[in-house]
This record gives sequence, structure tokens and C-alpha cells, in this order.
Amino acid sequence: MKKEFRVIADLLPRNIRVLDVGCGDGSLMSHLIKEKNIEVRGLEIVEENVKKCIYKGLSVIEGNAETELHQFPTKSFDFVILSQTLQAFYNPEKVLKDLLRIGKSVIISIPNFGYWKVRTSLLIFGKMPVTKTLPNSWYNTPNLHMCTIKDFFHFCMEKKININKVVGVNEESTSEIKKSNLEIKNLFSKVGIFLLK
Amino acid sequence: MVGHISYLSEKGMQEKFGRKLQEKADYEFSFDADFQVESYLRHQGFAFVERFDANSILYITRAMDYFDLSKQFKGGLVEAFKNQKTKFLVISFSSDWLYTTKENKDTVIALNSAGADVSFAEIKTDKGHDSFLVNELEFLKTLKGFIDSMHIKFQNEKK
Repeated sequence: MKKEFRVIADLLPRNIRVLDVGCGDGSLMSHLIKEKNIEVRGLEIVEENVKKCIYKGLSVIEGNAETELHQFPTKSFDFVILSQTLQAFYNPEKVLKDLLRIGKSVIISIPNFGYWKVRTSLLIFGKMPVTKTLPNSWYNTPNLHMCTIKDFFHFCMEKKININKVVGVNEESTSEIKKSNLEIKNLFSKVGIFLLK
Repeated sequence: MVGHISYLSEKGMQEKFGRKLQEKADYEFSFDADFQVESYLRHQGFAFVERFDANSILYITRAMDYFDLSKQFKGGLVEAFKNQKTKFLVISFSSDWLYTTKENKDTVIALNSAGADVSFAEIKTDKGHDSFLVNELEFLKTLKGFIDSMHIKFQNEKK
């Protein structure tokens, strides 16, 4: 399983209710049910993935998070998870607002545009970065609103969204990100995982 | 005959019949079946008349008109679906004119709002409303996957 998913799973208590927005083929959902006895639901836009989830016995709704989150009642889940999808929405701020309404807590992970390889690609080669976490070219990327860990950190503070914990993930390790080490972690983390309340 | 059209899809009928003529070289400008699609629908119409008592259709149509699940629950559908222990799977067919994806989605939203355990998938097909009768592979696979996974779950719970 992806290292990112392990970090997310570690952030979650046992026996709770979780909504996985953009749940993909359900690998995180299966893990949460098995390891933490979590009651988990998914929302997924890709038809093939929805079917994979149903075959696995997971409860998944085929739909678009951008337009269909309103159907979930307020505070109906303990946690809502959004893994590396926020940057693909037309209106990420509106989606985030909905997530914070639905969940008592929200876990959001973002591919970090401040990662040093991304920065050097643009600085040295003058080309839009293509990396393992950002595998698409500029013309076929689903990412509309790329941001850095620092950007999202500041965004949350500006919008008075309570940041409970931030974890940076790169190839070798995972580490907690605080205000004091934000600059350096923003340079060396591939993915940032935010726990919001 | 009119009803029968609604079981099929536009694309399905276009592919099967188009404007093909029924065993003739040109239009006859009569009220006989000039087009293949006419002949097909007439055949289906006669078959229906033979098989069903027309009054039964009247009764069923009336029963459908009077059925309103939300009426007895003042809060609408959401109220009706509260406290369900059932695990739901809703499937819609993209070319179904009678039970559209939009309406199925409304049901899913109501179930979801009521806190029910619900899955939803849309099957892309050009076979229309009758997709559930014909050999629509994606539909059968999805249904089988759902039932199989539930079967395994119940077996494990028994142990």
C-alpha cells in the first residue's frame, strides 16, 4: 500500500465512520475496514473504479465530488478523506467547505508543488515538471489548481481552518511539519497530509 | 407499440432498423408497414394483445399513479428511508428513458441523506430500459460482484 495511505490510516482512531472522497479502487477503504474496523463509504467518479469497489463489497457511490457532496448530511462522518484530488477541482475552496461541513475532521493530502525536483525542473530546464507524483504533462494533467504545502498552510490560516497536524511524506521518510520547519519541509516533501478540524 | 419504444434506446433502434424498408424496394405511401421498424412494432403489439389482458395494464398503470412512497412520510423520501439495515445497490442504465440516471440518483441521494448504506453505479449501454433483461455484461458483472461479496461477508460473520 502507498506510504501516504499508511500515514492516513495511522491518523485515524478505530471504530469510527469515514467518508473517502475520490476513493479510487478502494484500497484505502479495504485497509481501514480490516485494520481499524472503520465503517467507510466512498465517492468515486471513474466508472471502472466504482465497479472494482462494488466487487470488493465496499459501499461506493458513482458521482462527482464537485457537484454532489451536498447530499451528505452535516457532521454525518467522523472523518472525511480527500487524497490528492483537491487540486483537480474547479472550485477547491467550495469543495473544502463541504468536506468540513460533512466531517467532524478532515484529512487532505496534496501533491507538493514546492518539492525541490518540481522547482528545479522549472528553474533549470524551464519546463513544467513531470515527476512520479505529478506524472502528467501540462496539456493532459487533471490538476487545475496546483499548490505547495506552504500555500495550503497559509490558506488554512487565512480561512481560519484549524490545522491539527501536518505530515510531510517523501521517498525515505515521513515527518511532522510545523510552522518552524515549514520552509525546509516544503522543499523536501513530495506529499503533504493535513489533518483539519 | 408506443410503450414498447420506451423499452429500447434511440441508438439501439437506429442501429437495428434505421429507415430500412420492409421487404419492398420503395415507399408505397399506404398505411401498411413500409418500414421495418413499423413491422417490428406491429408484431410486438399483436404479441402483447395476445399475451396480456388489456385491463391488467389499466390496473397496473393506476396502481403506479397512486403509489407515492413519500406521502405517508411527511419529510419526503429521506424520512421513508430512515433506520434501514439493508445494504442498497442502485444501478441505472445510461440509455433508459423510463428510469433515468437522474431519478435513480435522486433515490441514492435520499438514501444517503437518511444515512443508509448505499452504493450506486451507472452502466453505459445503448440497450435502453430492457438492459436488465438482455445479456448486458457490465450489469451482470456488477450485480454478481455485489451479491458475491455480500455472500462472503455473511459466511465470515457466521464463523
